[in-house]
Amino acid sequence: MNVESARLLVVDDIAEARYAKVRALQKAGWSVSETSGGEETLAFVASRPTDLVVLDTMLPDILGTEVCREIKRKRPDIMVLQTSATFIGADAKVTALDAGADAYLVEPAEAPVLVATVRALLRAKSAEDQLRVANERLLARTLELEALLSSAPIGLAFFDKAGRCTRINNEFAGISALSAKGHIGRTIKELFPNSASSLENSLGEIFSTGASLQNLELSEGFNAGDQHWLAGFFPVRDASNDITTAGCWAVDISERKRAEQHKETLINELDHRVKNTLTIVQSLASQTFRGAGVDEAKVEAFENRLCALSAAHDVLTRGSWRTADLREIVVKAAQLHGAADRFSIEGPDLKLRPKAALALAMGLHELCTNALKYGALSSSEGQVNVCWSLERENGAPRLSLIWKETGGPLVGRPAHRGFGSKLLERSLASDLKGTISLDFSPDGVTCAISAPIDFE
Amino acid sequence: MTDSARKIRVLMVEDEGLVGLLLEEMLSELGYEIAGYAQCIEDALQLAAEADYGLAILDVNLNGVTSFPVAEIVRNRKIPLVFATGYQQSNFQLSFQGAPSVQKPFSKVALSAAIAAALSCKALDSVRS
Repeated sequence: MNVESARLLVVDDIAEARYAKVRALQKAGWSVSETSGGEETLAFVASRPTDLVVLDTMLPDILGTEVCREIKRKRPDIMVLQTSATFIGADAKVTALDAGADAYLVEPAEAPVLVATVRALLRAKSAEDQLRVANERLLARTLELEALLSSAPIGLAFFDKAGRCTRINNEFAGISALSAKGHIGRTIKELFPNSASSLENSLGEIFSTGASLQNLELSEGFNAGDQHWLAGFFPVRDASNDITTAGCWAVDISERKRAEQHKETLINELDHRVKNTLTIVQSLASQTFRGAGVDEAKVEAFENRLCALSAAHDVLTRGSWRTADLREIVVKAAQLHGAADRFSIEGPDLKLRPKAALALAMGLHELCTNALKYGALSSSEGQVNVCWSLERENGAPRLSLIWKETGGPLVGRPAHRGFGSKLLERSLASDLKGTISLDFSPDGVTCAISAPIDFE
Repeated sequence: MTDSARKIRVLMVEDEGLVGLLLEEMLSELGYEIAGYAQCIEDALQLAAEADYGLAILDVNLNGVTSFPVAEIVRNRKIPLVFATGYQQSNFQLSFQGAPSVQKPFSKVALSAAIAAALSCKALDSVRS
C-alpha cells in the first residue's frame, strides 16, 4: 500500500462532523468513503478494500470501541484512528487503545492535525505491509530450500566453526546409523571417524580462505559394506559477508566404486589369461623349433619379442587399456634388456593410445635388441639417450622421439635388412601414422620418430 | 651356470601343462634339477611340505585357486621361492608382495635373474639369523 493511494473510511453519526473530516482528508488527496453506524461500518470493511478507519466513539448502534475491536479481530491490517469529543475522559482513551486502536484523537481536531495523524498511521502501516510481504517471501524461500534439502538426491549438511553439525538432510544422515536429528550438535569426528581429518582440514580451509572445495573422496563403513562419497564444501556468509557456516554436499559413489573395482578385477583376469596364452605360445614355439634345425638365436629372438609385447600389455593394463604412459613404455623396454642403467631418458609426461603404445614398445624392443647385438649396448661404455618432446604442426600435437646411441663400437650400415628393421620402419610408421628415420652414422645409431598424437 | 646351481633341486607348481614343459626345459638348460612337479593345489601342498627341494617356482593361479598357502609352507621351511605368473604384484597376497617373481611370458634370462634374487634373499636371511 502507498501512503498517497490509501483508501480511507470516516465513521461518524453526526453529519457535520463527518463532513468536516471527509473534506479535510479528501483535500489532502485521499479517496474517502463514509458511514454513520457500527453495523454499516463492519459491513463496509468486510466487503470494500479499506486501509484506515477514522472511527467515532459514540455511535447509535454499537460503541465505537467495540466496532474497533471487531475490525481488528477480523482485519488486523486495517488501521483504526479512534476519535472522540473532548468531554470523554482519559480512561475512555485507554479503553479505545486497548481495544486495538492504533491512535486516539480528541475532537474537534484541527484539519492539519487530523491529516498529519492519518499520514503518520499510514506510514506505519506501509512499513508494516512491506515487512509482511518480505516475511512472506522469506518464508516461501525458506520452504523451497527446506523442500530442496529434504528431497534432493544428494547429501547436504552444515557445520559451524567448531565442526559441529547444525543441519543435515536425511540423505546425508543415511551414511551413519544416526537419525538426521541425532547429528545436530555432534562433531565431524564423532560422525565420520574415518574421514574426520580430511573433513576437518576442509572445514578449516573454508573458514580461513572462504574458497569452495570440490570433489573430496570420503569412505565410511557404518552400514553393510563400505560407502564412498564424493563431497564438496562451500562457505555460507551472513549479511556482513562473514562466513558463519560451512555447507557440505556429498554424493554416494559406492556403486561407481564397486563397478570400478569389478572392472579392474575383470581387466586383471583378462590380463592374466592373455599372459598365460602368450606363455603357451612361447612354449609351443620352443617345442616346435628347438632341436628342429632352427637357429637357437631365432627362437630366442621370437621369445624376446613375445616378452616385449607382454610387457607393453602390462603398461596398458595399468592404464585400464585407455592410455599408456610413454615414460613407462621406454623404461620397461630398457629394463627388459637388463640395461636400464645405460639409458638416459628425458621428456614430458605423455599418454599414448593403446595401438601407438604397442607399436612403440615393439619398436623400442627392436632398437634395444639391435643395440645389444651391434650397437652402444654391445660395449661396456655405450649409452642410449631417449628423449622426446611435444611439438605442434599446424596446431596439431606431434610426438617427436629421438633414440640416440653413443659410445659404442663403430657402426656400419647393415648389409641385410632383417625383420627388426622392417618392423621398425614399416609397422611402427604405419601404426603410429608417423614418420621414422633410421640413421646408421658411424658414431652411433640414431632413430627419429615423429607421429601425430591424440589425447583423450 | 655355477656348480652350486647344478645341485639345486626345484619344486615346480604350474597348472598349465605346456607352460610346465617350457619351465622344465628352461630350468634344465639353466642347470637345475626337477625335484617335483605339481599341477593342482592338493599335490602342491603335499609336495611343498614333504619333498626334498632347494627352490620352489610357483604359478599363482592354480585352476582358480591361489598358490599362496603353498608359498606359506615353502616360506616356513625357509626355502627360497619364485612366483611365475601373469598377475601383477599388486594382486599378490600382501605378505608376498615384493617376493621374487617373473612375469609370464618370461625369457630364460629373466627366470635366471629371479632365481638369483630368490637365492640371494635366502643368503641374506641366513646372514641375518
